[in-house]
Amino acid sequence: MIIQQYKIVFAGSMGAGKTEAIKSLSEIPILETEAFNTDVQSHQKTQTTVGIDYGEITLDDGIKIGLYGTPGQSRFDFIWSVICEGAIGVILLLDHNSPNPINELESYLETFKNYNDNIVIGITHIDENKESSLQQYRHWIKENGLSYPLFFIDAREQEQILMMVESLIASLEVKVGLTSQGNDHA
Amino acid sequence: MLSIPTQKRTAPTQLLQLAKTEAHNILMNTRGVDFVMICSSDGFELATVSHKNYHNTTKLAAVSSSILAMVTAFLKEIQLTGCNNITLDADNGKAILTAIPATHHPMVMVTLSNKEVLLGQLLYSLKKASQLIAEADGE
Repeated sequence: MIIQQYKIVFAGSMGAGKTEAIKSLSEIPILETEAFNTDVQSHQKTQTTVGIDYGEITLDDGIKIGLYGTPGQSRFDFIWSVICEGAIGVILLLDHNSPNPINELESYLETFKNYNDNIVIGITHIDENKESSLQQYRHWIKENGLSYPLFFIDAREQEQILMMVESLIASLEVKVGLTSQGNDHA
Repeated sequence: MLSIPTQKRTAPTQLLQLAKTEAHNILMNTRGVDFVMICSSDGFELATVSHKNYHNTTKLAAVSSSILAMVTAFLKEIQLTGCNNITLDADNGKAILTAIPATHHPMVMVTLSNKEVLLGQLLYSLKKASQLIAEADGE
C-alpha cells in the first residue's frame, strides 16, 4: 500500500504556540516531546518541546497532512533541517509579546528559508501586547521586499490554523504553476 | 535531607552537587567510562565530569534531552511506560542516556564509554545513581 501524505512544519519562537496549533488542528492525539522548562528568562511556561511534535489532519479532498512541530530554542537547531526534509512548507509562528519580535522574525526566516522557502507567517499572542504595533510586521516584510503571507492568529483556534495551512498549500500551487509555466515557455 | 522550593525551576546547588558526586563516582569506579554529564530534561548542561574532553557539551546536552524525549514518546505510542535508559552501541564505544525522574527537577545523565565497558555494571550504577538523585529531589 502506498500512502499519499504531505508534511507541514510548524517552526518559530519558544512559546509562540506551535504545539498548541498542532493540537488544535490534529484529528489524532498528538505525539508530544515536552520537557520541564527551566529557562524562565526566555519564557515562563512550565513545559517546552525538546523533540518533534506530530499530529495529522485530512483535508476535504482526502489528502492527509502530517503536522510536525519543532523546538523553538536555537540549542535545538540540529533538528530543524531534519524535520524540514521533504516538507511542502513551513508555518512560522512568532510571539507578538516577545521583547523583539521583528528580530525573531528576521532570524527564523533567515534560517528556515534555507530549508524550505514556502513559508507562511503567523503572529500569535496579539491580545497580550496591544501597545506594540501589528503594522510593524507588514512594514518589515514590505521594506525587505518579501512576499510571505502574514496572519494574526490565536493558535488555539482550529479555523485560524487551518486558514494558514490552506494558504501554504495555495502558495505552493502558485509556485508549482509558475514553474511549470516557465518550463512550457522554455 | 534537601530542601527544594517547588516553585524553583532550576535545580538547587545541593541537588546538583549530589548529582555531580554520583556522576564522579561512576566515572571513577567503572572502568571504561570516559565522560558523564548531568543535564536538565530541557537540554541544559548542569554538571560534567570526564577523563576525555568532548567538544560542544552544550549541544550534547540539547541532543541528549531531545533523543530521550523522542524515544519516550515512541515508547508511549507502543504502550510502554517511561524510558529509564537508552543504550547506543557504536563500533568504537557506547553512549547511555539515563532518565533521572526527579519530581521537581527532572534530569538526564549522559554517559560515554569505550567498547570494553562492563555494561551490566554500568547500567546498575546508573540506575542506583538515578534513584538516589530522584529521591533527594523529592525530599
